[in-house]
Amino acid sequence: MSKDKNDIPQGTLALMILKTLEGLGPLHGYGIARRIEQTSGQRLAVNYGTIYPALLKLEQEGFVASAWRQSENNRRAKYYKLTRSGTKQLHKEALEWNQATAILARFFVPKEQS
Amino acid sequence: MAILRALFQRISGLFNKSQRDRDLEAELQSHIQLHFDDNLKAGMPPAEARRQALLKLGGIESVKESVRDRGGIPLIETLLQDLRYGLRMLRKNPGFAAAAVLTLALGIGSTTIIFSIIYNGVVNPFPYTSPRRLTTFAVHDMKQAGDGGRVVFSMPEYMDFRAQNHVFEDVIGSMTDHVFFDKGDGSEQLLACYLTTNTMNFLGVPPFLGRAIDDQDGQPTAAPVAVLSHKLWVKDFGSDAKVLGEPIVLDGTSRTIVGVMPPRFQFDGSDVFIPLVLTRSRPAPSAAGSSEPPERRQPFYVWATGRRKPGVTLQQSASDLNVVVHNISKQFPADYPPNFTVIPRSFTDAIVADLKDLLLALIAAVAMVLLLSCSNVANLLLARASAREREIALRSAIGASRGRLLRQLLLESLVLAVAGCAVGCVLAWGGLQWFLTAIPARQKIPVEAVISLNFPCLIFVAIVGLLTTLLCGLAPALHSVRGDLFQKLAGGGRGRQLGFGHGKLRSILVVAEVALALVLLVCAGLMIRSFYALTHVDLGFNPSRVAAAVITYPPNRRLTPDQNRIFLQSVLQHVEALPGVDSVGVSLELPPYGGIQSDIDITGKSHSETWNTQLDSVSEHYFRAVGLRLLSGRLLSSDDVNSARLVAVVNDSFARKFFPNDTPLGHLVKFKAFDQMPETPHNAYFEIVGLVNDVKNDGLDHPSLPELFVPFSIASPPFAGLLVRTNVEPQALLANVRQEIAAVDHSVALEEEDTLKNFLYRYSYAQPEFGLMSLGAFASIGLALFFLGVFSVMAYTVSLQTQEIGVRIALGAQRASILRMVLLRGLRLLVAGICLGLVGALFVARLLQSQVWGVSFKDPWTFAAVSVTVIVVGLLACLLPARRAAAVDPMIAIRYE
Repeated sequence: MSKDKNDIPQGTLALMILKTLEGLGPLHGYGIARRIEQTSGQRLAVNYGTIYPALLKLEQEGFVASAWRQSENNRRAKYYKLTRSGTKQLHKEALEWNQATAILARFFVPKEQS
Repeated sequence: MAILRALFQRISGLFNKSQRDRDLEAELQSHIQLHFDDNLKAGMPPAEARRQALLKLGGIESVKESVRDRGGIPLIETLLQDLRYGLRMLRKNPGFAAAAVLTLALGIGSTTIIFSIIYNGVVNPFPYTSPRRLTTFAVHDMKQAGDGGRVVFSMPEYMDFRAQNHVFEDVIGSMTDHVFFDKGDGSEQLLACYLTTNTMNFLGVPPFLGRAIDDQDGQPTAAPVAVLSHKLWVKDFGSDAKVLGEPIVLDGTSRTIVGVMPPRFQFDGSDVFIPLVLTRSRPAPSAAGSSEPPERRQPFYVWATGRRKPGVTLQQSASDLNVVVHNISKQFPADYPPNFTVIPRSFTDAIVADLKDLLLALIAAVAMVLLLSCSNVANLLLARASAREREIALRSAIGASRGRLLRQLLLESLVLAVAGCAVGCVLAWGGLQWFLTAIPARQKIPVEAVISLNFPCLIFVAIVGLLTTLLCGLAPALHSVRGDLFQKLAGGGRGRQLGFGHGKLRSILVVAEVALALVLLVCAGLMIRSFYALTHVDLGFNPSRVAAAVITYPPNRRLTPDQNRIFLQSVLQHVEALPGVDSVGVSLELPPYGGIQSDIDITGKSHSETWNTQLDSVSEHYFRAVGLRLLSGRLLSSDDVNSARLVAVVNDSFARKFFPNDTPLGHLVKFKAFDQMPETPHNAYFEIVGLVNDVKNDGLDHPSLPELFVPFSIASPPFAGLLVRTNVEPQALLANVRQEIAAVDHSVALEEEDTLKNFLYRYSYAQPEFGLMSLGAFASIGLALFFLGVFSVMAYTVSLQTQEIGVRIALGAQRASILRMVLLRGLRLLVAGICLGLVGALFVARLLQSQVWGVSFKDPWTFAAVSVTVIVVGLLACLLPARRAAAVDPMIAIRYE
């Protein structure tokens, strides 16, 4: 792994997973991890293993549900999909995230404007 | 919400762990497979494709680990793991586990039992409203010693009292009296409680059926009513709810049953409750043949009981009572001594005062058993901890954290403690059931008391046990995880006492155990001696094969002495005719009590002080029935009885007291008691015709009093004691005796009908036996705990020294000297404990002073015997470890470890 890749910011992995599932529909752990890596434009160093504790936590909280299914290339895999409360949670967290980044962004506006 | 849901999921995750593990394994395998497929598609060679997939995942095991932590609750999982480990360690050491659990259980169980009895029986026995504030009071004559005094008050006094005091919320008056219950097909004597009409409301116990006595019932014109006690309702009315409104004939008055009280309402142990009609006028003095309508016959004197207003102490009530009663006393100067004071007393104290010392001694005994069991558990744990020092050191060397080790040790103690508490609870419950059957006829404990397991106490004691165990488990644990690891590993833990500083602490605990056991045994020993003395008192007669009963006449029956003689002689004839009957006699009282008290004069003997004797009026065969031996002169004859001759037989005490130098035969005696009875000859002198040996006539625990026996045809008391000496087991004859008496007259009632032995048991042996049994039980438990304690410590010390002993034997030490060495060490601890214990025993035995009889509470024989017992049992406990030490094979011992 190259040194110039970033680690996933704390607490954002769950949001990324939810957003991924919203975009792509039911997906297995490998697919989610891969998709997150791709979406980040290869800028994030995703250790695929970290996705599993995060998925378990989301499942325990009831935001995702899982079931074993055949994959498109005929392999058995555990698929995760967004639940109704997961969708709600995603919108709530997305909103909070946007607000937080907007606030933070104000601190980083170029100096001459202030 | 989501957090709660997650927590719930995680907790349930604790239980399906293996299922979750399999699922995760499959998921990760499928993950690798998918990644592998992709990598192949991207053109990697298979080996590289697989390696990259694994690399990117970051290690299957570490992923599993992090998912597992998230899946369950890691803290609880390690706890469960520690718990399993702890249980395994205990299973490997069943002797230790059993000893610790049993010890704790005994301590917890016995403490709870005694506390429950004391709390329910003494501290809070009554179902009444605010029983702690119920107060009785006595008018105490200042000239008398002690704090006793008059406790009954006439109705006018009661009424003034109720109106004038400022310290009571209300005052009730009650008096018990025997009434005759006419069942139609026979009679029964019942104990009636006459109550002022405010009583039931005051006591705050709602009736079980129907209604309570209310103010209307106290009106002079009110219809006569009665309320049944639960026990009478069950016994004589078959628990039939239809009794309400039915009549009950008591002392010839038909009363309507209006209610039944619940089982716990047993005010003064009465069978039936009758309302009092308050009146200021004294009834006509002659009760016999009185012209008053029968329903107006009621006691004129009552016991007064008040409930103090909240916040008024007993002392504060005393000052107000004194003012009020002194004021009232001016109306009735004849009823009060010139100088008196009013002494209030808590209702509870008034009833259980007798048993207080015994209960205190029991509490002390129980505290000692609890201490014993706690110190035993401490000892066991300390001994075990030092044996495990090396194991702990090893575990911490290979990386166990201190916290984890502490948790592990604490958990093991906790397992022991919980098991001990659980067994203790079972023991407490079972033991209480046993104890309840042993309490003497419920005489000393208020009848209202319902003794049940006291849960706050059980919890308290269980917590004490738990804390002791945890604390003693923790102390060595703390010690074990501190200090130099290398030294402990190298020192081997065993074989070196230096490694662990608890050798001395253990010795102190053993000494304390010896001392405590000794105190317990001394108390039990004193009770045994006292009980033995009491049961082996020379009664002067043989109580076996004697049936006894008291015949009571209905209240409206007044017989002349002659009618009475004819009736009783007819009874005597009928009973004598029964097969298996040897002889039958009547008397006033049943032994070991004798007749009434009477002052006497003897002609030709002047005396300045009053001469008081027992006086019994008996039939001619009484002497044979009791087993009195004639010493000189003659016994009473049937002629004496038939013609009511003025003759008397005296006992040995009488002769020794009044005729120390000559024979009493031929002298004349006058009984002042007869001068006061209407039907007896007044100013009559009785000739002494015979002398018999002494029998106990003032209870078992007092020396015989001077006594005279006169023909029963002289007087006509409304009752008679019947004694039947039999050739067969007397129990079998009781029913026949009852039948025969009923055949003569079915309107008389029989009381106390039982064998004389049982009668003696009920009135004389039951309470000491209760003390004996309970203290004996505690002493046995104490002895067992003490044996266990000494044994475990000695066994452990020997096992520590196996190596040293092996070396000694290898160097030529005799096995006998090894045995002696171990025994001597034990003996040193025992002797130290005994010295300490003897001092303690002197203090505790003082509490038993009022309970022991015929033996000093400092009885040297008891103290000596107990000391010897302690030494013998202690040495026995040392013997097994000592023999094990002497049997050590030097080769094995030296190689050991």
